[in-house]
Amino acid sequence: MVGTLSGSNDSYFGYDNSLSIDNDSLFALQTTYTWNDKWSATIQVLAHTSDTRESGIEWAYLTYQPDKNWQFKLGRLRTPLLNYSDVRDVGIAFPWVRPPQQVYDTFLFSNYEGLSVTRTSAFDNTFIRLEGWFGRFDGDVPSVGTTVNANLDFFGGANATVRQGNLEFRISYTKGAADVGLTEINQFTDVLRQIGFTRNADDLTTSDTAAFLHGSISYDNLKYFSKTEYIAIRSSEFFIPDLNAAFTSFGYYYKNITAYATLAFIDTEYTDPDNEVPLGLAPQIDALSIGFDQIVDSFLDDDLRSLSLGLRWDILPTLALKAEFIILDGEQNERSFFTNEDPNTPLDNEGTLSLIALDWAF
Amino acid sequence: MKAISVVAVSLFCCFISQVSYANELVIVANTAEQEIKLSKQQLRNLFMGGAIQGKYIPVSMKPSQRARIIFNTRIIGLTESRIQSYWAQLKFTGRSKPPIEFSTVEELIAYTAKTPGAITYLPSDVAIPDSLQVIFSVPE
Repeated sequence: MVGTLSGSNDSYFGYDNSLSIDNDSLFALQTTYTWNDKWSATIQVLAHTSDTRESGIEWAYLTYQPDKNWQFKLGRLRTPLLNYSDVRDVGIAFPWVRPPQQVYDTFLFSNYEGLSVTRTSAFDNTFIRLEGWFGRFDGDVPSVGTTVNANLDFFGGANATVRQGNLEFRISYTKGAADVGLTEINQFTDVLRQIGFTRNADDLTTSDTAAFLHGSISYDNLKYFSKTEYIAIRSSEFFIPDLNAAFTSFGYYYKNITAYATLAFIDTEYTDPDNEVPLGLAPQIDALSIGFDQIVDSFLDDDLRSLSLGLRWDILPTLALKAEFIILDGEQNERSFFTNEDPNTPLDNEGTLSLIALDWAF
Repeated sequence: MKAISVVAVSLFCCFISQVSYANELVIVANTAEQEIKLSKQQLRNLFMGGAIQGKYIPVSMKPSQRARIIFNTRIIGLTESRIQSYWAQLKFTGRSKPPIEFSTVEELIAYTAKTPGAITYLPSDVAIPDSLQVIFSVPE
């Protein structure tokens, strides 16, 4: 994967105005050992060049398939929130260079350790897949340019896919209780609590319950495809923002070439708790009050629209060359997923990301 | 220069003479059942990894074979690249595997004829062994 960001002095997901060849490249090996037609074991090892992605065992699970309709999986699995979240790293599985970032990079907990149960049914004209799963998550999650440790004791969800001819619908619901490892903030809230500002201490609690809702419609035929996905996150506490994001993508097939255009947006909103710590009583209290505001202000919203145009060329059935230009238009005075590379100038929050990728599955 | 082009043309002729010209396909099954009838949608589901009572085994040609291109167009209704993307997702997530694939019609017939429950597609001008039953015709 090669990429560069033009028209901006800042960086966006690790891409800046220099040519980056190692930001999003990855190599994965997956192997499945089959004992018989009911039992198998699968392991996938992933080496990723991005600073915010962990390399190592991405998944490792046992599969039990008592018949063609039921499937049970136990182990480390991909969180099945979005259409392509379980194959986010398998470029050959989707038309884009990378799945639209506003929808795909907002969901942090990409895998879990637990159990998944799937039931599939085929009727004359309709195919239905239902999946329920639960487990736990403990690991580092990306947080704009860095990572933080997060721990989910309960993490579970369900999804349904209905395919009728060339039309496919999918909905999913996921719920998780997260504990984010922000030690400095925890120390700060301990002080607030000791002095008696318990409401503000509670406002900044790093334990959070969040619900994730997803819906999608896809249509495919010999000439074109159309894919639309929507995700909403609703959270009870401060550290996970409420969020709405969606994309719609339309593509046209011509021989081995797919040409596509994608429109995407994201709106996030952190809660804005009232500061109950008064100013002017004592210097130490003033410091607490200012500290509270600084923490709240440091969580900047990410509001970003984009239009992308791309091409995928299927050189071989398992080898594809892709190019994509993404015009990014972020809300001013917010972060909008950009990272400021020059502290003397404010974030400009716009630019054009050019990406080229070669995807090979073997 | 002329000699080279003549050789090239004749080689090309030799190659295509062994390939079926038929634009029609027949769907054949290795089954003891008296008469099975599958709809186009049931066939599509079968070849795209959807279960039909779990008793039939889809058998396919390799990509870029003529019969497969016709089958993709008339029955599946998707391009080869889209089918490859679809299977990449299902394979990597362990949900389902694509049908077994062969590069020649002879191998395809041999495998189908010895595998009870196997269903495959063949060019309509190919001789079909008695052990296989035609269950569907795909007109030109």
